[in-house]
Amino acid sequence: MNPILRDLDKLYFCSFEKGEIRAGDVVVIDTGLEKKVIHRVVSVNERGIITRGDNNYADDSWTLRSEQIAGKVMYALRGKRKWIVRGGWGGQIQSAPTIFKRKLLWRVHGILRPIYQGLVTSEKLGFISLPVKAIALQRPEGVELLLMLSGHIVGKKKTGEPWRIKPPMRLFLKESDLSEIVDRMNSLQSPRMK
Amino acid sequence: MMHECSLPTINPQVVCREEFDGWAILFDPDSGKAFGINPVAVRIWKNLDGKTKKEDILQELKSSFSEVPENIESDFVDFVRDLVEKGFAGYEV
Amino acid sequence: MESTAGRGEKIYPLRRIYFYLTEGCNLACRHCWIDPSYQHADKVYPSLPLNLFRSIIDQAIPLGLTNIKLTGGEPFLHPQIFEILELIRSKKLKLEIETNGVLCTPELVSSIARCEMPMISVSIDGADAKTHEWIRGVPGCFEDTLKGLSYLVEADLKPQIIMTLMKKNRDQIEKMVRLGESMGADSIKLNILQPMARGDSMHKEGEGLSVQELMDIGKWIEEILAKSTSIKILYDLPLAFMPLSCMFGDEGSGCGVCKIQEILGVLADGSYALCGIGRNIPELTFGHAAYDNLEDIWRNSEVLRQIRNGLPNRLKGICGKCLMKNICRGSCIAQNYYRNKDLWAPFWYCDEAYREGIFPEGRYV
Repeated sequence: MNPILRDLDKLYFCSFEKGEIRAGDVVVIDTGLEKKVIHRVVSVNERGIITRGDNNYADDSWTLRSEQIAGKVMYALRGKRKWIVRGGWGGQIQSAPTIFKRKLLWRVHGILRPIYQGLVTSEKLGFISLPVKAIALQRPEGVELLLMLSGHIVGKKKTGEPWRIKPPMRLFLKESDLSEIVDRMNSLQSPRMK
Repeated sequence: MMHECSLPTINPQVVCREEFDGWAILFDPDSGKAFGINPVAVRIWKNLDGKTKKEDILQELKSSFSEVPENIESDFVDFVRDLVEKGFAGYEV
Repeated sequence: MESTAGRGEKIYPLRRIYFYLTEGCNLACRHCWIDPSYQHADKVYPSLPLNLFRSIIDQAIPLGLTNIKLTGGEPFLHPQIFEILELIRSKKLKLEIETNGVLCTPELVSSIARCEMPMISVSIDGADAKTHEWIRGVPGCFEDTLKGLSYLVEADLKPQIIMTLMKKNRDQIEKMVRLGESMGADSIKLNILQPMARGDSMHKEGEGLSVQELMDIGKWIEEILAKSTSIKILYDLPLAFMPLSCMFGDEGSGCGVCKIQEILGVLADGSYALCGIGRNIPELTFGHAAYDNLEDIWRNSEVLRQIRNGLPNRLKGICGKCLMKNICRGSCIAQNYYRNKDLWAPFWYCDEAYREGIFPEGRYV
């Protein structure tokens, strides 16, 4: 449900005892599994309730009964910021930019993906030089590198594994820059970091 | 050993949850590990940006907390080393 | 601290053994989670044979044994308790004892005092005879317990009082603190009534306190009672409900930090078990001291291996989400299994708090 809801947000929800479930509501779904799912109601019909995460490309595979809905999310708290999570029409409006972005990205992704894959495999990368930096973290299995750009994580490299770079960042990074980071880490790490 | 003289920077994935009494839990969603730190350590955590110098952080601690122990510097070093060993902080390379 | 075996598995040292020395107990407590038989003049129940006790200790020391806990039933009912204490002393093992104090004598106390760093807890559940004896089921035991406690104080053994909280005694916490002060106790540990064995019946009969009531008591202790006394008060709630300073601070007691991966229980009949729960749940026993090699049990018992490999990541429900799970480890695996027949089920108290929406928000993801 990113960006409206993110991991670690605290959610306040209430049951539907006094109201009906409407398209646009963000609901807590009791899947019967360990983890509850928070998704938005796409439609309510005679067969049941259809839901989907704002960022997902398809509706959830289930059709829910009302008793499988544990409640409707009313508020969310992130750090000290608390905001209303809209439902019904308000919810549909609130989620519209995300859904539009998702659809747009899906289309653009479909066009660009083959080109991107081609570029990545041909290694003709590194159009411009970006001011990236890396942080080396000690993990039980070895050193993990986090690639940072302006305070955001854009890639990771675990010991013995290749870099995993968030698309489309790989286009802007030179292979030599990434290798240099690994070399620097190898030459600079203290005995503790090995 | 460059890391002996420079300070690490916090692992940006780690969540710092402050509690009512000034203590906080550091939680690494990647490893699932969590541990508690006291108010002085919370202040250190907030200053581990890879830029602020150890002397400046120690100075801030001395001016912010009324009863700073004499061996604060060695406690500081131990805490920072502990963060690095747990993967809660790392060095810029 | 653990090392790694050749096949890549961690080797856990066996640091502590809890000896449930006697099948019988001289009191008949309403809330007991072990449910021993009531032993009196006309009826005596078996105890762990001394030769088995000795054999277990000899096998356990090379595995890393440093601490022994003697409990029961009632450990002082054991007919060879003096020999047991002498053996513990000669092996320089740290000693912990949980007793009701009734059978404590000056001779026994001096024998305990010769052991390495003895830590002794005496159960007192009411600040007056009426309440204590209602809970403990035997008339006259209050006076005997106080006398036993006084011997321990006189020997400077710094005894701890353990009080289990329930509806009947919830208004006596402060009186208990004053009693502890006047007797010279070192600390008071307040346990919550666990819904296991007889404690389960009490819970079902509504004699236990609700999660909210227990949380309110915790707040009152922290904000008011603890400030009015020099005696240490340890409130045994799951870690998610305790201040971080209790777990991570210099003055923390380490209270509630579960060391299940380095503990083994031995029942009065010589069976190895997860803990005293083995008396009620046979599947949590792993063999017998008379026939099985301890190292083999400790290294290869299926349940112990499951616990080592599964904790804390396999914990379910709120325990799986809890930020304290690495140190709390489900609070009490035995209890969780007893109630759900599932080692990874969440701890009942945390589960109830979570369902009621009063689990501390900042402590889970």
